Amino acid sequence: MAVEMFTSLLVGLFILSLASAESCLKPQVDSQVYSTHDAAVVVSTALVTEFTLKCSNGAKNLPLYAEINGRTTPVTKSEDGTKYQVSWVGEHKLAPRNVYPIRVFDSEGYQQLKKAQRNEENVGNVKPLFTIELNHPGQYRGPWLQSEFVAAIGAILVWYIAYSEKAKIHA
Amino acid sequence: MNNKLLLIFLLVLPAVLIVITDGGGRSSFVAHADDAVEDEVEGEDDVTIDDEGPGAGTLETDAVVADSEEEEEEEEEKALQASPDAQTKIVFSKPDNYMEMPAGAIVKFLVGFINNGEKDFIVDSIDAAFRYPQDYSFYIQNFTAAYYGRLVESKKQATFDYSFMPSENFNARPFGLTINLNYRDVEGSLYQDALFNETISIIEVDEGLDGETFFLYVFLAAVAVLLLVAGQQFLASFTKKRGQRTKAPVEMGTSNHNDVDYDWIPKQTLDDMKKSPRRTPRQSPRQRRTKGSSED
Amino acid sequence: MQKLLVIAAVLATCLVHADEGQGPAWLLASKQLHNQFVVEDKELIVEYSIYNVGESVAVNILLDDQTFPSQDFDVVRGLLKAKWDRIAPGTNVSHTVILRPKIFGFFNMTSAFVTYYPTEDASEPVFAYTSAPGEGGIMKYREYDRKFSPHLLDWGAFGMMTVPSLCIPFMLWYRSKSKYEAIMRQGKKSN
Repeated sequence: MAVEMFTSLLVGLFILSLASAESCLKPQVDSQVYSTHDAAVVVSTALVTEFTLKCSNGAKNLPLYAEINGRTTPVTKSEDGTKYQVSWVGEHKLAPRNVYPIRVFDSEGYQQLKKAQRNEENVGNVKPLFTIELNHPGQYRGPWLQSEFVAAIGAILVWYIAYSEKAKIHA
Repeated sequence: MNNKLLLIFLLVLPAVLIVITDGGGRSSFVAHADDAVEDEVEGEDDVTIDDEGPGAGTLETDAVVADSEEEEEEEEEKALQASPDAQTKIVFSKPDNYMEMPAGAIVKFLVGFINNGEKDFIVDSIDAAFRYPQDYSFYIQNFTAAYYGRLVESKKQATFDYSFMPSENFNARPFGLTINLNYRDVEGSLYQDALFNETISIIEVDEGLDGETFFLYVFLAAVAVLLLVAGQQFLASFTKKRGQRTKAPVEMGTSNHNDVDYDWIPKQTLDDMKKSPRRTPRQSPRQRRTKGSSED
Repeated sequence: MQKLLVIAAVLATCLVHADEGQGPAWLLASKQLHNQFVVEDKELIVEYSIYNVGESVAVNILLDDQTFPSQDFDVVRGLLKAKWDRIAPGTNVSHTVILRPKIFGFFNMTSAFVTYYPTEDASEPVFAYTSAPGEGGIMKYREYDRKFSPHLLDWGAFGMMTVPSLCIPFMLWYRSKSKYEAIMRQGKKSN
């Protein structure tokens, strides 16, 4: 019984040591982004980024956490662990035209981030593993004026000019 | 004699009507208080609900359906129970605090279903209703049931989502919200699980300055300006009546004789004109013509 | 020294097996569309939200959506097969996939499924269906365009076609008017 407990303790410490070595040194990120452009078909705006990560120490399948547009979420991995994805969906007015920095943290950084949030310190001071810039050009909500409206106004204008000239002649 | 007969008839007829029953102790010609109230209330609700989006719960538009539901309940003496092999859980995804739901906003929730038994289950539907908080048998609003018809095999789990919108008119009132999950097993036995059976309150969401109130103020300002302009016009027309009316110009004709240009008249006619006695140009062509004709 | 080590080991194992007394993890997964209309060749946003309503942390969660065959839907961005290491109890994760339909017509969107281990040391994974958006239709692109696009080209063509019927009388009138005005000016000058 005691031996079992002792071995489980040793195993626990070993795993802990492994985990602490699972940080990525010199991360190289290859990312692709997407943001909603056409707001006429969809009711929310989506900001999505897919990236692959190469670490100089060969670390793979890392647990990562991301902060995107004010939301902190774990990073989704592909089934084989090579690709990562971060996504955000929300109302159109919460995602105006802007460049959104997506800060990605490893588990240590995430612990620091949570501590900063708990103590209500400035969250921006926590240094991320890397940052992906998402350039969102804004959504197309439809034309400023309906084309039918413009055509109707134009027709009324033409009619008005003609009528006023005619009235001048008659008077 | 005829008048007396008429009077007796008028007295007797209502008495007879009230007394005639349909064998069940209730008069068949008279409307009963409880029937009328129920129908009236359900009719009222038909008007107030709005439609919203795909899958959102909306009000049942047919009072007949509600009646048939009640009939069903009366026929089945025992209510449907939940199956011991099924485990369910409800979690509200919007709003976070389900005890206070904003009126006019969509409420969404997820229902988890675990089949711990050996047999398969088929999940039929989820229905939700608002009831009177003091008397849960009294329906205030019955949201449209969502049908799934999903087969959940043994030892598997499934999730269902449902959304509804409390009407804007239900402001700042408590309601009893009941949500039921209806399912059956492969042998056909029906089960019902009461997922939620609590009293919640509807709160009013304070939007502040939105499009509607802004345009209301603009409209009021426009009406005020219009009234001012109308008043001003009225006063102006009033003062004009008392003031002088400008004379309409009267056409006098060509008064200056020296300015007339005779270049275009052929020479012959000019000579003729000089020969004949000078007439005043003031004469109208009609007078000239008659004079000419009279001369001839 | 030995006793201290034993006490430390006991404490550690207590910590390790701390959540054995609690219930298993239970994941509720919803699959929702964020589209008002699903239109051929236009983006379709599918959002998967997974909530852990159990008491333990769920481990090794795999979400797999096989309801969008690649010959009918293009994946613009996002992974249809996604994995998470852990979801703590009382928390949720969300995952979005952007698709573009290549077909149109009636389409029944059924559930994806999630497999996960309900405790840290569970041996067998649990299989859960997500919720399904249900039946719907994918509009043809031409229909959507006809209803909702601003038709600028059509209005431009209309304008071009109305120009002759408006311009010819206008030019006639304008020519005579300018001649008349020229004569008037000349007449005034000479007088």
